[in-house]
Parts: sequence; structure tokens; C-alpha cells
Amino acid sequence: MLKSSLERAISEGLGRRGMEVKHPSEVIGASGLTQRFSLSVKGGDSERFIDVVESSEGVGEEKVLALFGKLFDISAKGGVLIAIPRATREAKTLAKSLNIEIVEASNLDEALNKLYTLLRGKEESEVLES
Amino acid sequence: MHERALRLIDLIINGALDEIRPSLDPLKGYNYSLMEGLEEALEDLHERGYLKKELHDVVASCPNCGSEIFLLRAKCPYCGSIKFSRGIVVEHLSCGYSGLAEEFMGPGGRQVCPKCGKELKALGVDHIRVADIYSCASCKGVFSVPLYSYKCLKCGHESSTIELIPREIHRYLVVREALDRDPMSGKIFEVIRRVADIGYRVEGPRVKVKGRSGAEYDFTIAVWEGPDELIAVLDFVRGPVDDEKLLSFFAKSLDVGAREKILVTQVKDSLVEAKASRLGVRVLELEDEGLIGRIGEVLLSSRKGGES
Repeated sequence: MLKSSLERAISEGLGRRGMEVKHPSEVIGASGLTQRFSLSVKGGDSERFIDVVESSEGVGEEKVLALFGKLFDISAKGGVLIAIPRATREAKTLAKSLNIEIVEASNLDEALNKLYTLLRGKEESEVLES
Repeated sequence: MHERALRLIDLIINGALDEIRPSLDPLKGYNYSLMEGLEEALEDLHERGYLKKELHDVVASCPNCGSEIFLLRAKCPYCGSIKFSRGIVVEHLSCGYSGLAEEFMGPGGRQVCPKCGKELKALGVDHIRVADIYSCASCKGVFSVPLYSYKCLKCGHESSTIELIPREIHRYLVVREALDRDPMSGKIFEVIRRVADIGYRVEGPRVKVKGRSGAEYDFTIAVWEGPDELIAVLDFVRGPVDDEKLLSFFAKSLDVGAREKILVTQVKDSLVEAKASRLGVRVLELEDEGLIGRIGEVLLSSRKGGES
């Protein structure tokens, strides 16, 4: 499946499950540059920014860093990188340090289910915290 | 970077050095005394194809600390005692008796066979030296070769022969054609040298810098003022710079807290330059004749900014 089709399918899938999704999601950062993400999901007062990246050799550190750079520019807390089918060990270690969640999935259903579970979990923990 | 390392880089770039050999120090083992602080730079040059690595020697090293200097210790192979002594086994050819040389010691310094009582005349005529042996005073065991162990003189760890780790020692040969073909490496070393001359602490051509998040990042060059104030990080990029490269450089520079973020590119792209400028990243061109001067200006202005 093409990356753009995958992004759309994930966005539609989350939308069908009742989430407020923007695809693609574009935000003007502090730099004045428009930062583009594959999609974003609104939950309460916060918005999660998500990039979908495919690499047969494993999604590497550069993708994690690029997402971190965009998140920093728009002052967003955390973010999610969907790695199709997987991320490298180095990318996972870096993502952990930079407070970025990595979702590894080999197909659309797996990506959708894992992402939905992650976002719901975050929503619930935020409700509990508030 | 160590001054000697910088001098060595100068020698490589200027064509004055074609080979780097390890020297053998009896107190330290093999070492690259000329290359102190330069191992990573040499490995980087090797990976880039500018240096060829050749096997120089293979030595045993301590499994605990890697040192090659040992004290060879001998013990009884049966009980481990160090109380053993060396002896000579003598055979009396006339009667066929074999025993330790001291068994043949008779009164008045004469040598007498303990079995037949005859006096020994001359070695090789009526008696021969059969073997050298060791006998243990603790367990009375007799053996021909003691058990040797290797006590590391650096860390004190004691190893048996089988536990020692073979370590390859290499020499590096400069691949002149590869260096001449690629202007980027020469420029990187020139920048390192000139920035060091200004009085900054500079590391490269591949340096790891730890970020606030705890993650470690690779940069081509990093520049510090004083012991730990990171002034600038530089990446030299081959080929065009896309958004992802720009953003990832921005992100890692941010995490390490570099005051100046400099990307040196081979391809001029005004759109990328404009985006980079918004992110506080300076994009400089490799082919720019004033590249080194510009880097110097950025560093000096950063220093002034820090002082004001």
C-alpha cells in the first residue's frame, strides 16, 4: 500500500472509531515554517501529531529526529511515529529519550489497532490525571 | 582534539605521511603514540576509504582490560602450588637406573648410582641426561611443564592461556587517490585545524555529543569553548539537503544545546537555506572559498554574543 493511501486509511479508520482526525495535519511553527505531519488526533485539550514512515530496512533515527524537530518547532509535547514494518533498535532508543512513541506494524489493521490502543490509553490516563 | 592528532592530520592531508605504524612499547604493548586521540578519526578515514588497514601483528590481550602486558606465572599443574623445583633425570646406562640427579650424589662430591653402587664416570659415556622435570614440594607431583598463567600488569586479572583474547594490531596506509578525489574530507580537516588555531576545543571528523535527553548524536565537527560549553556543531552533507535532513540536524543540535548550528552542503539550495535560517541553522557551501573564514566569523560572533 502506498504511504499516502496508508495515511488516509489510518485516518479514516480512527475517524470511524470516533476520533477527531486531521489528515494531513499542518501547523505553522515558531520558526514561521509550516510543519506537516501525516495526521493528528485531537483528544481533549491536546493534539497528538503522528508521522507514518515505511522502510523495508527498518525506520531509522533520522525519521525520529525529523519528527522531534517538527514537534519542537510547533511546541507539541510528544508524538507518534508509525514504523512500517518496524523501527531499528537505535531509532527506538532515541525515540524513548525524546519522548516519542513508536508503533511498529506490518499492515494497516495492526497499525490502526495499535495506534488506537495507544491514543485511547493516553486519553484515559489524561482523564485520570485531571 | 589533541595537538599531535591535528599535526598528524596535517601530515596526511599535505602528503607528508603515507603510513601510520604502531610502535611497540615494552611498558604498554603496541600503541599508536603519534595517534593519541586520533583513533576515531583514523577509523573514520578508513571507513571513508582514505586509509587502508593492514594487519601488522596479532597479540594476546587481557580479557578484562585489553592490556597486552603480562607477568607470566608458573604453578604446579596438579595442586596449583608455587612450591616446586626443577630437577634433572639421569639414566645410568650400565644398570639402566633412572632417577633425579641428586639421588646420584655420593660422599665427597662423587656421583654414584644408587641402584648398582658404581661411580659415574662421564656424561654421555656411562650415563645420560634424560629430561628436565619439575617436582612439587606440596603434592609431590612430578611434571615436565608447569601450568602457566598470565597476570595482567594493568588490572591484575589472571588468565589461563585459553582465556586470553587475540587482538589484531593494524597499520594504516594513506590512499592518496581517494583523498585527492574528495574535496570534502580535506575541507573538514582544514576547518578542524583552523578552529583549533583560534583557540577552541574541536573534535572531528566524527564526534559523538550527548544531548539533554540522554541520547548521543553524531556530528562531523563539534566546537567547545572552555571545558564543556558547546559553541557549535557542524555537519558536512553530501548531496542535496531535504527537509528531513534539515529537521533531523535541527533536532539533534537542539538536544545537545549547541549555540551555533552549521550545515555545510555541496549543493546550493536557496529554499533550504531560507527554511534553515528560520530554524536558526546556518547553511554554508563547501565550494565557497571563504567557507573557513565564515565559520570563524560565526564562532567569534557567538563568543562575543556569549560575553555580552
